[in-house]
Amino acid sequence: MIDLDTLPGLLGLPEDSATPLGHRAAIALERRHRPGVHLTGTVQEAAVDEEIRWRARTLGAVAYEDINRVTEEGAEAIGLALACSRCSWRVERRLQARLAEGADWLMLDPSTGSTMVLEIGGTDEQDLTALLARKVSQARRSPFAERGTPAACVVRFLEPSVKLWVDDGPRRAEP
Amino acid sequence: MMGLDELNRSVTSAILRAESLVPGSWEAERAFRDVADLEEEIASIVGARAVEGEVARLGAVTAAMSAGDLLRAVQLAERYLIDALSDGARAKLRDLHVEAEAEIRRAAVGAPEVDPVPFTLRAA
Repeated sequence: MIDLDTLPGLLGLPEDSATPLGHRAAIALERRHRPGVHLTGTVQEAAVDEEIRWRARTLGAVAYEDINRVTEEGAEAIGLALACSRCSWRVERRLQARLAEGADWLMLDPSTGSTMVLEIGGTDEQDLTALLARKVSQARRSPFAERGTPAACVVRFLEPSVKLWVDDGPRRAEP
Repeated sequence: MMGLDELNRSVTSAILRAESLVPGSWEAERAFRDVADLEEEIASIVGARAVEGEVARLGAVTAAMSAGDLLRAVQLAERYLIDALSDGARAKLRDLHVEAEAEIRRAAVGAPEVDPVPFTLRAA
């Protein structure tokens, strides 16, 4: 279970960084769903079914939010939460959007010591497989893909679903 | 002095704050100056052979550009280009260097002309 209202603790990020991400994920989900909805999909090819909880938002909290920002940052909240809870990765830091496509967050996998360069994308109702293919391509072309491990995560809010991919070597084909 | 974990948390907050402001506004430029300071500090303690060090070096240059501090961006790029970056990161840093120099040239073309005025100081 992921509780969007306790995201700072799960991600190990300050309140001022993690709380707005969790807030936007709640708004993105609440457009069609109620707290307790299940998110399904794959994380590193393993099937996941995760309950998502949040405190219901008021209409006033939603009124001034930009829909694109809600979708993108909401996807970041869910992608980071899954990476931490399912893969046991640790958030290292955010990267600047202007710096490069294909690199949103640096994550540490403590089990291997690898640094993952994670690209995250969100969509309300587009095809998730096609979006993942685009994000994987961007992640592999990132300037940091030589020394970091490219990874990509995409989230769709229509019926909450997710795909998280990690590059585990040149022999694998893109999904 | 902050440790690396604290610097990473601070730069994450600073980036999210700067990117939430109107691009090019005075507030955004000031916020990106804070990002550039933090990126430079991380670059000073993490080697260029680590991906974290690459991100900080390129991040310092990018943030200086977003802050409108183009001379600082060029100086940082020239400093970091001699470090042991990967081919991909070096190529991106070269692109940033070229972009910052081009922006300086554009700014110079649009700047008002200034004629030198000679004068002599004399003791009263």
